[in-house]
Amino acid sequence: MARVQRRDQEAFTRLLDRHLLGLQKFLIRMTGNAADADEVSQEAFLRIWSHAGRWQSDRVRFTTWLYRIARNLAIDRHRKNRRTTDDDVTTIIDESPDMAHTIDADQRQRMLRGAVAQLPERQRTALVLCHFDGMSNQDAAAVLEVTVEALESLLSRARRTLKTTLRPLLDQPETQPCTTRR
Amino acid sequence: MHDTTMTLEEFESYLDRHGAEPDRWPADLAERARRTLATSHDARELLDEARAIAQLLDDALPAGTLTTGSLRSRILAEVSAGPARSWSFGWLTGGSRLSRSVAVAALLIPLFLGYAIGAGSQSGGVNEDLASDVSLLAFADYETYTDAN
Repeated sequence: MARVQRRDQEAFTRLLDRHLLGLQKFLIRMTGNAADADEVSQEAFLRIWSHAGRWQSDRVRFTTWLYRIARNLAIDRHRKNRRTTDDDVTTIIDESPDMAHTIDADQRQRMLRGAVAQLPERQRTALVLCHFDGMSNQDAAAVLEVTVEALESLLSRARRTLKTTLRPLLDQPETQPCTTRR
Repeated sequence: MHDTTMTLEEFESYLDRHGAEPDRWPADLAERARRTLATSHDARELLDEARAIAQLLDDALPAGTLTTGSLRSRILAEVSAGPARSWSFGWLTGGSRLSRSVAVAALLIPLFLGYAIGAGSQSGGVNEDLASDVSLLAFADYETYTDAN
């Protein structure tokens, strides 16, 4: 990162190769779609490049800084797209597992994604960082700029909500989508 | 014996805070969780349910087939372009609220001045002769018509 601060493009490329895929995975789970994840990933890395001088190694780890920037950009993007997202959530809520005896794989996927998408942003971030990205509670707390206790409270509320929401799916047989015979 | 295991409520609380893999919990908690699981059927059921939910989440958001090739190329192209980016409209859309306000003001003030100067020149006496000529032209046909009749 010190070389990136000296405008070394080769060092930036190595940094990009090391972190891009992980960041993309984090963002696709945060934003819910690949296009937004790509846009935010790109903007995050360009900010890293243009503001490299602001990073202070003794204050925050690079990964923490990168994920903070990406999270803030994702929040901004979500605010801009809020109207569309609210419409999507309404659709997801309507597809309650209680409404049908069996659900196909696509419905199941949408309900699962909807359950995560409906979590408050900080709970979702905590869950994505710790459950999916395998970050320690300490590191995730640093990204969210909260104490470890607060982070664990966010995780606890997220997991309890998901347990309640997803429990019906545990007993629900999964069926394949219907296909039309010709 | 009490402090080497945990109550069911404690176990569930740690499951929610640290996830469904007790081996990855902090060492002291992991050991107590193992002892609790060895003796409590209810704790094992809670763990099974937490693992099933975790598996559902993994299935729902796999993100395992992502490719970064084109995105990587786009980012590196932007970085190589370097100064060109600073000539884009990022100075207008990015930055702090104050800097955006200054940028908007820098755009609006010349527009306002241009409008004010233009309006002022029309209301002055510079074009009065032209205005009267236009009026005469407008009534020319009418006058011709009335003269003829």
